[in-house]
Amino acid sequence: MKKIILSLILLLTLTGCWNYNELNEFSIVSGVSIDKSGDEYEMSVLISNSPKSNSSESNSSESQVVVYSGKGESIFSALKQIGLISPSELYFGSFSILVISEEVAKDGINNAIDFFVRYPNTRKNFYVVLSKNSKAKDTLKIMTPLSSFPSQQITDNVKTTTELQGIIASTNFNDLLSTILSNGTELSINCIEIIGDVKEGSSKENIESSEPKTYTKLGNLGIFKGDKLIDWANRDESLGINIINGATKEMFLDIEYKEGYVVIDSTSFSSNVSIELKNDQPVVNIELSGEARIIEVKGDIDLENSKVIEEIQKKSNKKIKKRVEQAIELAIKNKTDVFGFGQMFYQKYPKYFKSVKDKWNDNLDEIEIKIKSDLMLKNKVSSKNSLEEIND
Amino acid sequence: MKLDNSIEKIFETLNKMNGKSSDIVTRIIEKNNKKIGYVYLESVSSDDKISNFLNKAIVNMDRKKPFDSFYNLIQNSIFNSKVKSCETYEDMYYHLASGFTAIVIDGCNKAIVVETRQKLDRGVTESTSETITRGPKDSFTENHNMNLGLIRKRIKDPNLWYEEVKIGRRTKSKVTVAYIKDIVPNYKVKKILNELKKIDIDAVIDTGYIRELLEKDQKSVFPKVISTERPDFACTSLLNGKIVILVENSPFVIILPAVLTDFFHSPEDNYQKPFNVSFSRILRAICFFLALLTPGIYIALMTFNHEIIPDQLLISLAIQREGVPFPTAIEVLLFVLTFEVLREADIHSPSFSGSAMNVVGALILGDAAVAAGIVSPIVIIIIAATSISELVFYDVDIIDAIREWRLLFILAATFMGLIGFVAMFIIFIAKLSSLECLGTPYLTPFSPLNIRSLKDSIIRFSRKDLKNRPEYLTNNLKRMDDNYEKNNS
Repeated sequence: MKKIILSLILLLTLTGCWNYNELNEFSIVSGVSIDKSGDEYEMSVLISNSPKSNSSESNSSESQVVVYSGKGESIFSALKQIGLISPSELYFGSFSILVISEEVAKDGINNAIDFFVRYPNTRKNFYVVLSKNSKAKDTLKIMTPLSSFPSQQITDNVKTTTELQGIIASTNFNDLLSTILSNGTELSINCIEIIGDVKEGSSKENIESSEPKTYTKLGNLGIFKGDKLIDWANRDESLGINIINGATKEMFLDIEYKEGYVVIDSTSFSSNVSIELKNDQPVVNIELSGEARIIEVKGDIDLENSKVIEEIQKKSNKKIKKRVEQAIELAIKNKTDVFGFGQMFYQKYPKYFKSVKDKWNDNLDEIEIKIKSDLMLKNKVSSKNSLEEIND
Repeated sequence: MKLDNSIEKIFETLNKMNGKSSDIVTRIIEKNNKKIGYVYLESVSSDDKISNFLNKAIVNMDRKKPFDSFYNLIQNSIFNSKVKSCETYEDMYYHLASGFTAIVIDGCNKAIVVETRQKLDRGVTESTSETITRGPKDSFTENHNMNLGLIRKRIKDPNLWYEEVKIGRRTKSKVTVAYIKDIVPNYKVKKILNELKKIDIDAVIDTGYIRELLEKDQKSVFPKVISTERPDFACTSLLNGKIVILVENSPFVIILPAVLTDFFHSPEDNYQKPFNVSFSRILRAICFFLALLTPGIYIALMTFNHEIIPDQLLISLAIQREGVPFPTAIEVLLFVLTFEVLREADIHSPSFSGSAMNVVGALILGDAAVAAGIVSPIVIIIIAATSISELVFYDVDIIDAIREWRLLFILAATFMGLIGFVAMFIIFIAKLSSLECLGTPYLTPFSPLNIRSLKDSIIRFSRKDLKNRPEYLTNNLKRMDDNYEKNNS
């Protein structure tokens, strides 16, 4: 027993508190943005445990945020510049969002990604978004009343809207990395836009107002070729891309019908992409299926008539098909395979893919793409016909 | 030392023995040329029971066989007291101190002792250390016979055996080993009796003495016997195949062997619905680990392994710690210590100072310390949760054990973070596994695994499913007939 105690004491003293760090000696980074200013990178970090928020009178768990930025030729030197400003060591262990500005993305994001892969103190599951029409740094500054700090707002936004709307597909760093490293898949990342004035948005009034004048909004997909941003998809194309990629689980469509329209909402949407080689000719089958219900009706539409329902169903399938076709057209136009068809061929027919690999993106239009949409309209609505009609 | 022949000589020797203590009363009665003397200690006996009788009895004493006739006379006329004869001074003094009156007859070197005990104890009262909401409320007292009676009246089986050993060179305390003959394996009783007989000490004041002397592994802080003041709980334990040791003048009895899960049980568990009991026991098991581990985990996470804390919480914790001058470990230790001081003060202070203590404890130490920035609010929460968790246990010993191991966990976490913490946990489990009492490993029925005994460890099954006694305690398993339910339906 004495020996055990002795060796324990020795062990304890030998370790010398390795890796010991008090939590409040850190500046906790919860959002990072990368901009370009001239030839230099500008990196900004959002620090969310600002000491000034700890006044004994206010709610001590509420935080005030600080954004520090630094410039440098490399991202690391920009980070070191921030180190000169920040009073304590930056803690990258728990940041949740990386905003990359449009310019940086157009120049290529490999640098930035390389940094985050190599930098040892980061967790690799943060989300990545692009900033469109504004500096990435500014998106970190916009204060919103509903979240305690801006990065939280963006993260929550990405997380929830992914599930609820077809056009947003959350990209976390691990996904992004595996896409970049894969053969024959190109990136597509959602963007974030600032609506309103940045200066107003970063002031405290923005939080106190019940209708914030400035806010951030998630937008369409930016599509990449290699590590460079080459084009923005519009809303319909974004939806199409996400449908093919299987990122869309829920979506809605408005379908013109007679003089009015019908809105259908699908909460169980799924896509199945399969590939084959027919006479050395690549064929892609996209099968879409799911159930939808009618959620809004305008005009003189007799929903009790099963023929009408059938017709609406046909129209909606046609519309989905069209969205997918639009997305494919965009990809063909930009010569970038954002759907990862190449990856699938690489896995199934590696020899074939090797032979066409170099020209895969250029020859996207040669792929025969068959789209089959099989959305079932379940006529489960509380009111069969539109209210206008019932009133008559 | 043999008794002398003459009354005067006997009295003189007795007086010499105890230095003419003020409570010794010696009287000599002379009637019809017959002379008898009697002696008692007025502090422990009452004389009115016997003096009247002696006055009358002396007349009828047979001159030829004075001792035998007088012994028979007393034997036949005093029914409600013990009557014995003794021949040595030591024996006589033991009886005097136990509340007997000794009668000596001139010319005989023997004495008759008659029990004239004065009631020196409180009656049976409610248990104060183990209060329950439902179930019998009586508790053991300082009266040894009464304690034996409280058990005997519950178990009317002749197989309930009491074996008495006198321990203590000066106190000569009665120590009774109670067990049920056909449930408890004989070797266990023998082992205990042997151990008890080996004890050589001048005094046994309380069961605590016996417990300490029986426990061989003094290094373990975990209790290996259960102390209780509740006769109903003692009886339940007896019927499960445990052994109960009662000590004269102590209202606490000890039950052995004990395993860790016994301390998650409460005496009340037998009187409530099995589902509710299981719930409480699971709660106690959780509390056990909470009380043991929380501060250690907190320190490890706060100072070494930040990456485990969820983002939002991390920021909140960092803000709370802002401005606290001490390292986390010192902060925690400071408040652990504060709570222990409060508890120590609370246990021994009379009730009138309790409210003052509440104010000091709750307001000044808690609220003001946070406001002054000495400690972060989260530490107060951690210590509060820890302390409340440890108080769910009935047994003080387990609380103390938890307290000591908690400190070890805090130390390990302070120096080596989660790695040290886990290492300490392994040591903790190893230590627990190495303990045993009367051949029963401490972690039974989990390790070694005994699935049938698990039915009444953390989760209590309904009584209909508990047809057997725990296998690790006894070979006589049947508690209920196997067909009990079938016969009734």
